[in-house]
Amino acid sequence: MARMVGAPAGEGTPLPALPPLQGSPGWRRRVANRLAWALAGLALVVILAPAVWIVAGVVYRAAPHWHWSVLTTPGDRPTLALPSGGLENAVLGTLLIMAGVTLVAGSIGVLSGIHLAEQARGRVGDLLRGASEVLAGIPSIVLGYVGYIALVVGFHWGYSLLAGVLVLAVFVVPYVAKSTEVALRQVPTSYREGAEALGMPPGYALRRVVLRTALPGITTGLIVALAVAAGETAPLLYTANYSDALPTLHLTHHSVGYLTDVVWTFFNLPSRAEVQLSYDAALLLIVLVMLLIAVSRLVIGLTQRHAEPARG
Amino acid sequence: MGSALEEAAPADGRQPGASRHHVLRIRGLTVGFKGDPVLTGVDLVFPRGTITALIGPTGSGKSTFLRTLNRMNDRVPGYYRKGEVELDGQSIFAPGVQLMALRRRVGMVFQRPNPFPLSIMENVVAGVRAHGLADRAGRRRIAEARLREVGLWGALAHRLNESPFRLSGGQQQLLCLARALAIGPDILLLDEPTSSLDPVTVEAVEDLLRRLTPAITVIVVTHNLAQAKRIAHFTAFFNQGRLVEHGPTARVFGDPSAEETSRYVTGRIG
Repeated sequence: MARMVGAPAGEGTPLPALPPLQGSPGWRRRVANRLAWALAGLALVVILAPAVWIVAGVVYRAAPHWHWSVLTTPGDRPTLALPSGGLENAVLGTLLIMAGVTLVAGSIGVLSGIHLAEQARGRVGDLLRGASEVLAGIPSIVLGYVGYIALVVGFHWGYSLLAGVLVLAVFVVPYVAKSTEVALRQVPTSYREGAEALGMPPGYALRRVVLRTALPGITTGLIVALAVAAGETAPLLYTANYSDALPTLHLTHHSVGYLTDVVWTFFNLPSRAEVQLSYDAALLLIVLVMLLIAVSRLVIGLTQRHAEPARG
Repeated sequence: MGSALEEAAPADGRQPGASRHHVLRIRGLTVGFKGDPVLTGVDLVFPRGTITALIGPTGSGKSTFLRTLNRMNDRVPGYYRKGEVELDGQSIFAPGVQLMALRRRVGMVFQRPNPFPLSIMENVVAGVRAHGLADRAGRRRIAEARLREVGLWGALAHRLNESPFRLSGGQQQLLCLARALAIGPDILLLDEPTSSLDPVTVEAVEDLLRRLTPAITVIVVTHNLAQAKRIAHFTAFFNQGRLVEHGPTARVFGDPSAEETSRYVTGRIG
C-alpha cells in the first residue's frame, strides 16, 4: 500500500522523531535562506541601479545649463540664451501625440479588454487573444514603416500628427487590452454574483461595480502603455517626421516635433547647445512619465475610497 | 407587479397551477453541468410566508437547487435543466421572463458577505438604484428603514459614507441582507448565510428571518441542523442529488420516514 502522507508514526512507514521546539535550523536551511534573500536583493539592485544612474546622470547634465525658456521657445526661433532654439515645439508635439494616443488606444484598448474578459470565450476568444499577442510582438519600427506606406503615402496624409498617433496607438493597444482583461478577471466573482442576484443588468453591473473595482489595474496598464509610447522614436520617424516649428492642430500634412527625436538626433550634433538640448529633452521626458504616474495614483486614490483592502 | 400577479391568482384556478398557498412550485427539476446531473427529479412546493430549510451533506445539490430558483446558474458553462419552477403559477424559464424582474422578486444572500466597493449607503440601495425604484431622498429613506430592520442603524447611522470593508464580518452580512431586502423581494434565498458569523450575529439573523415571515417566503440552505430546527417551518433533506424527504420541520427531525434522513439528522452521515 502507498504510504499515506501524514500518517501517524507506527502505521505504515514510521516518521522521524519530532524535532525539539527550541534550537537553530540546520546549516543547509540557513545557507539556502541567506542565498535566496541575497539573490532577491541583488535582483532589486540590478533593476534599480540603472534607473537611478540614468535619472541622476540626466539631471546632473541637464541641471547646470537649465533655462526655463526652453519650454517657451520653439526650435525654429533661436535666442541669445538658446542659440539652437528651445523645446516648446517638441514638448507640445509630445503632449499632443500623447493625448491622441490616450484617446485612440485608451478607448479601443479598454473596450477590447472588456470584450476579451466578459464576452470572448472559447475559440473566438483564443483567436482574438492570439492576434493581440502577435500585434504586441511586432517591432515598432516595422509598424512605423507599415504606417508610412499605408497612411503617409497610401492615404496621402503626408507626415502628420494623425499618422503618428495611429501608429503609436496600434503599437500600445495590445498592452492596454491585456491589462484591462487581466484587471477585469481579478474582480472577485462574489461582486458579480451579488450584482446579478440584485437583478442588475450586465452592462449596469459592469459600469457600477466591476469596472470600478478593476480601475486601478486598467489605469496602471494605460499609464505604462503611455509611458512606452512616450519613449518611442522609430514609429514617429516614419510618420510624424520632425518639425522645428510649433505643432498645429492640423491632423494631416504637417510634420510634428517630439522629445524623443531631440534626444536621439541632437545628441549626435556637433554644437554644444544642441547636445545640451538633448539632455533637456531627456529630463523633460522623465518628468513627463513621472507626472503620468502621479496623476494615475491620484485617480486611483479618488476612486478607491470604498475598496476592499488588498489581501496579502 | 408582483403583488398584482398574486391578487390575480385566486384559488378558483384562473391561473393553472397557481395557488394561494404555494408561492413556488418545483416540478421534476433536473439540473446538471455537462455530464451527469447534479440534481434529479425534484418535486417540491414552498408555502407562502414560511421558512423552509434545505439540509443535506456537502455535494447533495441543495446549493445548485437554490441557485436555480433565481436562475443564477444560467451563465455557468454546460448548464442544462429539465423540469419546471413556477412562481405564482408562471414558469420562471418562460421565454418572456425578464431576469431583472425575476431577481427583484426572488432575492439572494450568499455564504460570504459580499458588499460592493461602494459606500455603506450606496451598498444598501444598490439594487434600488439599479431598478430605478426611488429618487435620492427616497433611497435615503429606504436605506434607513432597511438598516433599522436588520439592526445596523444604531451602529452605522453616522458612518453611511464609509467603506463597508471596515465593518465586522457579521455587520457586512447584515448589510448584504439589508441590500437584498431593499428592493422588496417576495422570496429570499439564503445560501448558508450564517456559517461564517459569530453566535450573536447568527441570532440576529435568525430573529430577522422570523420577523420577515409571513411577508416574505424564506428558503435557507444550512449545514446547521439546530438552526433548521430553530427557525424553519419546513425542512427538505437532499442527498446525492435527490430530494429524499420534505415536510414540517418537527416531523422531519422527530419522525423521519426515510432511513437516510434519520441517519443524517442524528449525525451518522454527512
